[in-house]
Amino acid sequence: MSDDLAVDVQGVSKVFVDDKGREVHALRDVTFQVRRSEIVALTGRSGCGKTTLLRIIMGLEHPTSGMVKVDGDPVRGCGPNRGIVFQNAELLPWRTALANVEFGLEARGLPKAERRAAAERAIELVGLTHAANRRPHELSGGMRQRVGIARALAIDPAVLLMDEPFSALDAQTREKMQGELLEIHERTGKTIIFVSHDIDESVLLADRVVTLVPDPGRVHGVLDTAFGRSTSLDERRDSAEFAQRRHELLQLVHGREIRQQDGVSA
Amino acid sequence: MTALAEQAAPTDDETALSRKIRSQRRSGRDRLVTAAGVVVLLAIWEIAARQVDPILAAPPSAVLRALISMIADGTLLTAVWESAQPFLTGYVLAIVAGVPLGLLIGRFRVVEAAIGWLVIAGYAMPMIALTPVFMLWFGLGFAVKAAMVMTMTVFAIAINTWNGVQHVPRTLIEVGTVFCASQPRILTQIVIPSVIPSIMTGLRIGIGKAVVGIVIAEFFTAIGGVGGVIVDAGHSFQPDRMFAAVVVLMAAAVALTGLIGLIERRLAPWNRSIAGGSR
Repeated sequence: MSDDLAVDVQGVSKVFVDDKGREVHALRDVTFQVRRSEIVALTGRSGCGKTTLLRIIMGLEHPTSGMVKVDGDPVRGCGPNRGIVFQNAELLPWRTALANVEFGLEARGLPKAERRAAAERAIELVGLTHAANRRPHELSGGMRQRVGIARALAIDPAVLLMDEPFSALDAQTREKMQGELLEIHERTGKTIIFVSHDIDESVLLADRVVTLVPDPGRVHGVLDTAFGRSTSLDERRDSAEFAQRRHELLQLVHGREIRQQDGVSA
Repeated sequence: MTALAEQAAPTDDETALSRKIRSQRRSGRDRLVTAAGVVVLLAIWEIAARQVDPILAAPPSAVLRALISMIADGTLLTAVWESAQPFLTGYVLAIVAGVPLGLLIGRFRVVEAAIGWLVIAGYAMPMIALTPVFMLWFGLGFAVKAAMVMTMTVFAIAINTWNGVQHVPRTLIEVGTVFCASQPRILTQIVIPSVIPSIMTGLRIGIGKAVVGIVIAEFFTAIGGVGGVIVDAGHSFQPDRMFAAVVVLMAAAVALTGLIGLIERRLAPWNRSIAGGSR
């Protein structure tokens, strides 16, 4: 069974101390599991700790108690088993798209030729081979984020972690990128965890949605939102399930209990 | 969708084109206005200067004649060469000291707490006040000039570098962290490239400071250089020669600042296109 687990979040709590010396409980006893090749969304109102939780899985923050395991290994700081995509791509402006994709490979000390080959594969996967030698300021917002995704994929991680990856894009580009993410998922089979405050996006893309509520940040419910593989975004959006799940998720996010039903577990 | 886009395309091109032409026209007109401004100013100066005693002021025509004769007899070249050597020495020393100083203060809080105040004080202080003591320490020759240029410049460079380090986007550092880059790698691949534009700003501001430094040093020591020419011309009631030397200083400062801007565009092209790339 544990072979099937990609990410195991076990009783994670995070306490910050604010300027006045008071303790702030950002997260309290958060537990959930992500299976291999699953897409899981973390969502909730602002202040619910969803970004803090993702940063703990990234290894950028340490939990006050509890632990996170990725592929069975406890998370201690950075690691090649996780590829991270930032909200605003966060590319190095002085590097070309290809050189940006190589960044994560350089840190691991791969030989140059191998690095180049892996970066070229990743950039092809996101459909940017034609723009590989452009610098970030010569790319559109959507293209920049595709480079960000390629950079994360290039290190061939077990899990892709994405922090509101499409929230900075305009509506049309966002929709296009959502479709492409599903395609990339289908081709690579990567486990994906993404943070989103967008209810529609969470329902459309994720197999399961973990909802958090604030004060203190805790899991309020996990909603099963899986559509069949290779169901297109349009088909998903037009389906009766979509409307139903969207409604349920809204209820969850706003802190109301919903009746337990098949596929809903907390 | 496609039809809409096709319809929209020509109008888009048109507006872009007309905007371009308009901006071209505007910059052409601007240049004309600038040229007219220069001509008017020179004319007023010429007329006014002819009304007064020639030992008090010189009209542009006389300044130009003085300039030509100073170039012809070699005075100017010698003076510029005499100023350029301590100028460049002091300026390079200021870069060599100022950039690492700024990097250290910006990167390490301990260093900031220890000597940050000194850099701020040094930047705020009128360095001219130190000239007499500098003359005691460094004499009246090359060394005092280079020292003045350096102390005038180093704080501007350090403070801008420091500022740049503090404004390296935190998320870019996090990119380094999550991809397991080592501290030296983060410093060389992320921090330093991010700081280059700020360093260049420091160098550009530093040029102006350095010119003031060399002139002050040459005024006080009154030996050689363009500053020396200015003092000599003043003392011997030759305002035409004095203004000619001032024009040379001005041109040199403008040219050097332009050169730094050129290097900046080479080193950090992304910076300009981000700053000027909004549409």
